[in-house]
Amino acid sequence: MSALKDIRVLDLGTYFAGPNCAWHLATMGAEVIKIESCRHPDPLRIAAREVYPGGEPGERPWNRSGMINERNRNKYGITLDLTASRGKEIFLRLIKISDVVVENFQAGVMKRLGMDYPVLAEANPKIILLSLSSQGLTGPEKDYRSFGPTLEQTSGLLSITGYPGEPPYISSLAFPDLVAGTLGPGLILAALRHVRRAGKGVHIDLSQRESATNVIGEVIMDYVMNQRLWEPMGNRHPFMTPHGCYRCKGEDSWVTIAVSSDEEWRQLCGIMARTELAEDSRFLNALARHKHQEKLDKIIEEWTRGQDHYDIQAKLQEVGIAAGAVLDTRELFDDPHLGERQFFEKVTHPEAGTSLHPGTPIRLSKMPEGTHMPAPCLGEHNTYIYNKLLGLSDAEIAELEGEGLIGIVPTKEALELH
Amino acid sequence: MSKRVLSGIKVIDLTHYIAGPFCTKLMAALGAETIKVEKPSEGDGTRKMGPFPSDKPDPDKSGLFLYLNTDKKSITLNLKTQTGREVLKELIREADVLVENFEPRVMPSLGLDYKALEKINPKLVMTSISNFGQTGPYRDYKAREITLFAVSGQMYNLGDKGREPLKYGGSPNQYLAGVVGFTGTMVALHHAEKVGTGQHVDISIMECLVSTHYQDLVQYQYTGTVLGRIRRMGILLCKDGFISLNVQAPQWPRLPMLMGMPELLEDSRFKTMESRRIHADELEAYLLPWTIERSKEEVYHAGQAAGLPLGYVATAEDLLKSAQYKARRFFVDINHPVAGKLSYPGMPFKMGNLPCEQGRAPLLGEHNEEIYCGQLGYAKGDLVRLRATGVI
Repeated sequence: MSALKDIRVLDLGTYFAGPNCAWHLATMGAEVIKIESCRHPDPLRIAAREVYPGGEPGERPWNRSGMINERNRNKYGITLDLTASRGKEIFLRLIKISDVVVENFQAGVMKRLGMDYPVLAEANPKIILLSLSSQGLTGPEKDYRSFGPTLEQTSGLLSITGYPGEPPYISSLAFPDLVAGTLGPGLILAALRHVRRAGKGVHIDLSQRESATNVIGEVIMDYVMNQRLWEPMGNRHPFMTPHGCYRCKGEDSWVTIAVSSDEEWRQLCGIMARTELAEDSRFLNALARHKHQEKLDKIIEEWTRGQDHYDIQAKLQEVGIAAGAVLDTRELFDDPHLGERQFFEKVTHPEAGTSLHPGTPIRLSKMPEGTHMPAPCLGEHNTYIYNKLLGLSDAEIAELEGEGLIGIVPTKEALELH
Repeated sequence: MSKRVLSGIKVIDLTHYIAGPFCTKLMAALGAETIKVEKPSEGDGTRKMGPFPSDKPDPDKSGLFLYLNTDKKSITLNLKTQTGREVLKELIREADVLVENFEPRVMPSLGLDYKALEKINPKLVMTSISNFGQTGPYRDYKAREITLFAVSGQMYNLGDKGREPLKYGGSPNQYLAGVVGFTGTMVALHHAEKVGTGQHVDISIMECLVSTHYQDLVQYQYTGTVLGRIRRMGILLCKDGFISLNVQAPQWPRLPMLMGMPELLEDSRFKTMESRRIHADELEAYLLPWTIERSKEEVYHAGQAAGLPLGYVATAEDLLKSAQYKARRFFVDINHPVAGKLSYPGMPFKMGNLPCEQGRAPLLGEHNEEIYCGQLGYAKGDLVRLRATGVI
């Protein structure tokens, strides 16, 4: 009953952006084949950042890496050495029977592999190639190296992020990765529609850096119209006051509150048992509250300090004030709303055990999409894919294994890489 | 126009503010006929939100509105009237997609819930983007960008240890939800075109954000560790702004070499990544005299040329001047009868040789005649009457 079950995707993605994009398609029912090689497994299998079940790497750590087992659910996994000519030949046979290829290599890698779009299109004129790169495949900076945080800086997102009056705050998050990884599958599906009509595939060149610039549109427009640059304003808002993050009871517990009208302000005063503040001229209207926001924030924090952040959220929401507890990871798994919506799924992996994972935010009324396969172990589906899809005999598969073109164990060099 | 990937798709766009309109903006850019349904007289609330040129409000000059609503048509329609809702149903009959981002109780209260619309058009894909989704204990909760960021789990990780966590500037999470809405709609549309029946796509902004938190979620599941706010990453002041030092262990030696300070390589305080972290302030004291003499882009390019993944904190001004963005033709100039010619961020992708020109945002009700008369067959006189009775 899955929405995309007629689509086959070859996932050459590594780290997060490509795999995340392919994960969306897999979760919605597409047949996604993650292609790695023993010489070059997805780096997150090796550089697992110590994220193993119970912290234990185990006998085959490359199959117990949390980062891999999270975003590669619902995919088949094969290995294939694309640098060998026989490997390339087999890959092109897979291309012939597939609809989509996803990759997020650095610009130029696909070409060096002899696998760029013209080659793929010759094997299958209807193939869609999605290239998800940091800067796009063209331009003077296309070969520049970056991590997620780099693109947060170079996209403009961090120029407006920071504590008030302080330098921009450089985070360790990777927002651009997420925007592009979520946009990619939508673009692929739109392109598939075009392929059905025009009979020809397309190469989608998606830039993570540009995707992040798209999400600060109003900031760009203010510069275009007024040559005005936005400064970081912390948790404040240009016109809503109070608007901020306030300490609550506990070691590192906070609640966010955003008041958008005089009526809400009066309600808040009532809830804080400080009705006299509603008559205080310093806070009477939005402009006045904005002027005295430092004082106001102190008053509010005096009240929030002694309370649990979920309680505050509930009390304020009851009277229609936007309040949100700052939840940590553990709290997310216990959150009542996510619980009732059954957002987290229990997944059992043959070598990593059972864990809870986020479901898809795309909820289709007629199709309960979700996790039906754990992430593949390295080369787990070699036999299944080569035998069933490509019709290779057991002898041929054994030959490929013998030549080291396919396998289920990373090479010594790969293991030592990190 | 007929060469675009979504040509022939008709979208009825009931969205307002950011998340919904960004979702439909993407569809419109890909060639879908996107009909934005706005409240008579006022239109989408973002028409009242700046930025405005010289800060003078004008419903056709809001930078936010103009950016979010490129390539769309605008009709006015009052959904609070019975006639208005009947007219909407006529539009829905011939549509492929309907997108809305009202609070969940709104569409059902208007008799426009998915069950009702499905009867009118069984092939319709209805996408609803809301703060917390169509069900659940928080369904009717109020939200803003900051509160959504908080409940997503992400905010806990942004900012300094020991003081309040930080939100990203602007409203990037609203935009991200719009992207999820776009992809979700494409999934349902793919299915509808295959089997002939549509469905209701329920997008919760909270879930969009929690689902992007996957690295921390799996780390907690596997190791029981709750990641929090760590020391901020290295940032250095240049002549005209900031660069960052995201230097991994194997690349470290190139940095002192680039800056002509080879002696730093022998300094025991800076030998390992851990020791560099501990002595970060001392290291920055050595590097600062070098960076402060140079512009951030100079350092960025020199560093990248030396194989270092340096980044610079780009402002809107930097991006508009960026050689990379110019080469990609990322910014597009679009003319508008009231706002004039302005540069806008374009689409962050190229699709082969398919056309990628973008068109301007519409004036309020600009396409009333085209849609009501041209598509639904109303006479011009009917429009006068509908206007007089507050329907359009």
